[in-house]
Amino acid sequence: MADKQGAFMSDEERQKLIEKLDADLEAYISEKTENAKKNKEPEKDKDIDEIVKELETHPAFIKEVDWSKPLSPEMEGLMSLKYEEEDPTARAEAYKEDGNFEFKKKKYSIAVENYTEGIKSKSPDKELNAVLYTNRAAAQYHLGNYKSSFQDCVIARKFKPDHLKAIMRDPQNKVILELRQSTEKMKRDIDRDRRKAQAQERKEHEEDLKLLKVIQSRGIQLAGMKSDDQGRQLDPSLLTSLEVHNPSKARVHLDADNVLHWPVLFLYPQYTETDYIEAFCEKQRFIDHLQDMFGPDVPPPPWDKEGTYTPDRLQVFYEDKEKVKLYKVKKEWTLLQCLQQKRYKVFGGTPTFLLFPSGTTFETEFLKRYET
Amino acid sequence: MTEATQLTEMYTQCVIDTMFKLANALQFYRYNMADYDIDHLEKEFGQFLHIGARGDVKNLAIDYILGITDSTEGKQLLGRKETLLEGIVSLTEDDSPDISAKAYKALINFATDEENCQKLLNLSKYQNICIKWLKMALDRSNENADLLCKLLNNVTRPEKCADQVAKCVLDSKADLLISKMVMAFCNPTYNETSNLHYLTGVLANLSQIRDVRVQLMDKKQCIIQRILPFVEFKQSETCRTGVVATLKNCCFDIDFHDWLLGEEVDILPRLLLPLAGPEEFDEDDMEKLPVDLQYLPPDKSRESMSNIRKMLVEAIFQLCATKAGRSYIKSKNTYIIIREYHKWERSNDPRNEPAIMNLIDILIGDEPVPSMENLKAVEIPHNLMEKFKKEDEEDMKEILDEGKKEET
Repeated sequence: MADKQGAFMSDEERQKLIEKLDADLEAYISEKTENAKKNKEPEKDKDIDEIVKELETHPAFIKEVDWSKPLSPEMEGLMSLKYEEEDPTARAEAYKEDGNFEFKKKKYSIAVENYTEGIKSKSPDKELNAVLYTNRAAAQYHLGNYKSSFQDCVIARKFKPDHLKAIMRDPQNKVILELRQSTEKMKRDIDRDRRKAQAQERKEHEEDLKLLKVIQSRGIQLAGMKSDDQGRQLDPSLLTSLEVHNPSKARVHLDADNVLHWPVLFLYPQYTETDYIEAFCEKQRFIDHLQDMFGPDVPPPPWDKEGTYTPDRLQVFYEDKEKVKLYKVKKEWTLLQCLQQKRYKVFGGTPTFLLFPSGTTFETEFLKRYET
Repeated sequence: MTEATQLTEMYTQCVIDTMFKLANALQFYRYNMADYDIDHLEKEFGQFLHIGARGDVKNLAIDYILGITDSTEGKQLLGRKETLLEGIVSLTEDDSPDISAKAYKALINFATDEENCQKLLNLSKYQNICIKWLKMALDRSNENADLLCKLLNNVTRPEKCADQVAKCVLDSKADLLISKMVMAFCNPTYNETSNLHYLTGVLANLSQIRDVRVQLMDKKQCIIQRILPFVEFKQSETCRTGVVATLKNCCFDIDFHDWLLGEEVDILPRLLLPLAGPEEFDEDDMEKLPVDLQYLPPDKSRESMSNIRKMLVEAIFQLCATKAGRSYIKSKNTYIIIREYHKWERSNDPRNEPAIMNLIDILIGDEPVPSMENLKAVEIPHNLMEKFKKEDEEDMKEILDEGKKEET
């Protein structure tokens, strides 16, 4: 019933309502204009430069789009108008044109974006898609994205296997040819380097075998070499016993005259000191080295407190590790003569000798350790 | 007896009669080749050598024709009757794969000399048949593609026929046919049932023609570059022969030499690699070689086919025609490869000796006087030409005699 009452409003009531609504509207409009005035006020303060700047970004006056900055709302509106076509083919076509335009200006990354948008429109036109992919491939190539470029080429061919014709007539084909050429060149260089490394490895291996052979023919025993190895085929694994763990990485080597040079370690157990000779020629005698190291012309080593380390007094020994025995080395021997001793074995690729002077208490004590 | 059974019986009788006739013909003609009566043959067989004939009869007929194409006389006789040839061609499209294969084989046998090839290419019923064959050979699903390639290979072998086919190909709207051929055999999965190796032979034959070579060496495309890797295609001698022959033909065009030797094609290492063995060179010599020839492994073997090796040497020789080409080839240390190859070839095929010596003479010889820099443009006096020809013949004889002595 209340509804009915409202429907049958008296004229007086109606008049009142109209007046109230008018007043409301009036108030609303005046408020709006007030607000608008407030907003407009700062515009008056703009100087001419700012206005020019604003105009420049307006699509109607714009000369060039700066893609690095966000687009002005007007521009965005226009663009969406341009691309918001119902037809995906027309949309893709539009993006392709834009991409080509940017490509010609050498703006390759923008061109890539355009082509990508074109691809995204999913036009059913296979040829158009093939063109979009090939063109994107070309743009990617210029950006140095070779892998993406190649992948796009592959996809382009899937869309249209005989797209070849189009690719070939396209001036951008040159780019693809270049891509092929440079990839091939790279591959060939890599292949060469691999072969070179292999050749180097082979050469080293041959040298190693030759070295082992020479060592064996000299009658020198390496740790790990079996006594019946003589004359048999050499075990290349013996090389590991030539591996040296010293910091200088010196290893026994053959010189051009077929002479061996060994890294040699001298141990001085009395003072727990050592001397390391990087290349002890097998033809040199022990006394030669002792003269060089402890002779009268050389200042004595700082640790030789008693001054007993002279070529005359020093004795050279080697140790038989299995039997725990010391054997004396004649100082007039060459290194080779010593290494050829039946009981001598080279450990760790480095012949090692114990040295201490004769006629000292250390000598008697030290020698005692080996007597049992 | 009803009318129907009567008819069937009559028909059967008729077929049996035909069979007897055929069997008779088979026995008679096979043993008396000289007495062939080709007119009789045409009368007897013409009607069966047709796609519309009954299957079993067609089969017998094509069997017989295939037998004839085994001998030279048979082929000569067949060449006189265009209708018979047309009949065979029509059977290549038979629904029975057995019959079509036999028809192709008969044509392959037939197309062994220039006269016969020209007859096949100019059948009045089948205009431009070569284009049709080529397109069929390039049909991915064609199970007879290999037979077609063999046939095309035979048909295009004589230069005149190659010329005719090349003209057809270049005139036809399908102007990409040459590059399509290359794409097809470069793609191992192009045709699941056929390997298309003989297509390289077709390409080699067609590359006798300058216009085809111009297509192959289109700088805007990538055609000749694609076939280069097949120089080392171990799986097929046919393929290697075809590809190397094509490359050799291409090397005859001086105007393309700079491009062929340049970065875009870089043909020299491709031609040299099959001639290189496992020999080691010192580092200076090694680094001067093209990268593909540096540090080859000890198991590197040379091309096994003597004729391919010869073509490779001849191709490099051709590239030496101009001063620029010569100096580039010399700078790449080609000589040491050829030197080692020469030593090796002496104990393999001495017949290649003259070709190798020609190349070595250029590689280590002095540069010719400026007016003779382009060796192809040098006019050779007639009497000298005769003299050289004689000398070459004598050299070859000597080589062959020596070879014989060694054998005995």
